[in-house]
Amino acid sequence: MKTVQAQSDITPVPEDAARGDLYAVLAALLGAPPSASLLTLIAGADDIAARSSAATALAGAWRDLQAASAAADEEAVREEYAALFFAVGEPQVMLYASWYRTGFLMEEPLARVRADLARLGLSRLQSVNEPEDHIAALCETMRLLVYEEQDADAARLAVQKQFYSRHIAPWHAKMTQRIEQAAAANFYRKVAVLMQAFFDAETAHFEHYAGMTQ
Amino acid sequence: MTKLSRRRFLAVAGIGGAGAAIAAVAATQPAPAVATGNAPDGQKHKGYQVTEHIRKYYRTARV
Repeated sequence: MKTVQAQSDITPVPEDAARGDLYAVLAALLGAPPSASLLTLIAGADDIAARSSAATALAGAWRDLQAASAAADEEAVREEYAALFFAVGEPQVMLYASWYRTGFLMEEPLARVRADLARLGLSRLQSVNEPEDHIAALCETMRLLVYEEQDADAARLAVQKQFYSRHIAPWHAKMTQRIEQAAAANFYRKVAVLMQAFFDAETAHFEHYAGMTQ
Repeated sequence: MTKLSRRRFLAVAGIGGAGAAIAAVAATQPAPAVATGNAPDGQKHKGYQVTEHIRKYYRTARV
């Protein structure tokens, strides 16, 4: 890897900033159980303005997550996170692309994520133990690409589209469905609905403006 | 594709309206434990500002 000159610091358009922030919130909620302060923050945040019928899914999902955050107890959500995503053996819900695409952990899909991250000049932090095909890592990568590709012309948008279509689009619906159907899911059922609404919007966005080719 | 039409598309999809609501949450969150990135100077995650630092680092580290 070679170092190239720094680019100017461009402020993203509000819609792209919102996309990046949604990826950040999903990464935070799925990478670890939320703190009490995060729950309070979500509960007290503004509504999402639904300016069309198509926007109501996302706005409604956010409103439901806010209500759940207002009612949730930090310890209870931590226990729910552990019950859903941690287990000796197989947890109720896996958060790894490899598992949904091959039936096993750390298979070829993880290798493809790592190859694309290397191509993009990204890699896992040394302090991180989770493999890179964890949904939170993939959301964090998308957040970085959205902020990075701020001009969002066709070529730059294609970078985001390619990573999304290769590593998130093929399997995210299976994961959100499993969360929604999991017996232990309560707060995270709301997270799953928000995630699905956002990914539906992202899929439509990429189909409309960048195509969806592998 | 124009930037304006894409922005309108995102706004209609609801993402435009998410700005104020989500930004207030995202901007105060520590970077998630599974964030990707090359730690440029061996720092551990300490919060969003570090993430911003890493993001800027990416701009200088692309092949």
